[in-house]
Amino acid sequence: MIRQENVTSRDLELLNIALDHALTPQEQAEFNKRLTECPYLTTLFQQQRRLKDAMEQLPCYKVPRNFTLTRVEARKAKRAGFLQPVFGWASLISALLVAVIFGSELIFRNVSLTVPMSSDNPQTYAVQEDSSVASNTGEEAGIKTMASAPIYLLNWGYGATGLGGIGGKGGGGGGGVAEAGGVSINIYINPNVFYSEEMALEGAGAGEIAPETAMDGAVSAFPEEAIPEQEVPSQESLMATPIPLEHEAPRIYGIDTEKAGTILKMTPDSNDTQLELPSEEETRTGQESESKSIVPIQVRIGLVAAALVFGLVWWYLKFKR
Amino acid sequence: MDESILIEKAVDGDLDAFNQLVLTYQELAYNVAYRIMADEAAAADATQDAVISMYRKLDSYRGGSFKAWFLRIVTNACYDELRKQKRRPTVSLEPETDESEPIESPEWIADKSLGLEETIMNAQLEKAIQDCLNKLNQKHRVVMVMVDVSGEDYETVAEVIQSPVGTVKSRLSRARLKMQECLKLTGELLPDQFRLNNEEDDD
Repeated sequence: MIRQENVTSRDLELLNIALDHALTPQEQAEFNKRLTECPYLTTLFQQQRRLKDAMEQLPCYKVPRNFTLTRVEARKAKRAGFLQPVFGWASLISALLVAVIFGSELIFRNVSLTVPMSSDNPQTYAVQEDSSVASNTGEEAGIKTMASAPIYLLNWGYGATGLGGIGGKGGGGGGGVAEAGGVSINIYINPNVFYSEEMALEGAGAGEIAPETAMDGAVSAFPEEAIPEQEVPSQESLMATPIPLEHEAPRIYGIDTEKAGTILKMTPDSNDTQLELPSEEETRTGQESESKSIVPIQVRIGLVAAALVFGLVWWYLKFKR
Repeated sequence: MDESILIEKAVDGDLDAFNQLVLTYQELAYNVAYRIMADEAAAADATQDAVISMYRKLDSYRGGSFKAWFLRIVTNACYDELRKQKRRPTVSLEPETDESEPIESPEWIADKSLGLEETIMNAQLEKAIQDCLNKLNQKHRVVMVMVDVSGEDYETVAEVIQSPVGTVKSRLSRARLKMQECLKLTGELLPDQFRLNNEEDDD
């Protein structure tokens, strides 16, 4: 009985090389030795050689026609050869743009607040109350306008609309309040604070970020009555002429210690988008502006359509022609 | 004319030089395609597609064996054609026997140089081999057709399939063993001299 298990992979390798007459003298000697040792290998070799002979004897067919190209065919081939990759790349680029737009929106919607702090912010209330008290003269009315619009340095958060923190020393404001599972950080400059030395000296917590807490705790951490009591200056101090600060004033955009009390700018620089103040409309309708996106919906639909159409044309040129 | 000069001219846009190259290799290409596709019309389509594709890609030819480069395009065209056939199965218009098998190719019967018995035996053998080739997977089939039918060397085939020579050898070894197994099963149909299992029980 022939035992198949005696044949090793090396034997099969040598057998195949032998069939193609490509054995080296050493390999030939090794293979001959194995043929004498293993009858199954000998049988296998004979069968394989017969198979190879049969394969080599298969008839070679004549071509049914010449496959040469005419000038017209050649021109057509070149044109199609140019268009196919063009449509392929156009389809790919359109699809990538669509993916980038949707992907980036998905990411930013999850991790960032696109809306500034809402007017429910206790800090805003405090400022508005301050300025309402201070609106005795025309000049103070101008100051009120500035004061009621804090300059936002950072407005970031996720999970929920945050509540602003307590006003900071030197006019810096900041704070963060979280809803359950979310956190919000809001750092801004409140120009109104500089008009009162008392406030400037008493302010605390500039730039502080409140630890992440649950919403219930967060609300109770800012007792509404505590904030105005701490922050609202006395009637006399608000009515008084602004006094130059004795200590070194912080260098903040729009505030010059020598020109304290005068309005330097009524509007932020148009090219500095980070310091852009939120409009009241935006503040009130935060949810609406949150849904706005950079890329118009028409452009998105156009890109998706382009990706599909270009892809179909590419597919047609590649497989159907 | 020297092949390298023809290639150079073809790359420069000389259509006559290109057609000269096509005439040189079209028979090889068609036969490889025919053994892979097992269908004359499909083989002709694949060869024509390969020629057009070669014309488009002439700029990307970077030297080396032109034959291997062309055969690679041919095998790719065959893969494309096989994919098309899978999507749109066709029905043969050739006459069939009661067992739904096509009647033997008239070219074989019309070959006057062979005797009738030899012609029939050859036809049986070719049919058995082609059937077994069709049962191999595409990678094994391509290697076996190129080495055992077309007689290409390992290096050329390695260039065609863009794999190392070792891969060619291992695929060829497996393909030959599978072919042998397949032909043993259909051995009854083969002429005596090609039956592979008639020496099995000698020991």
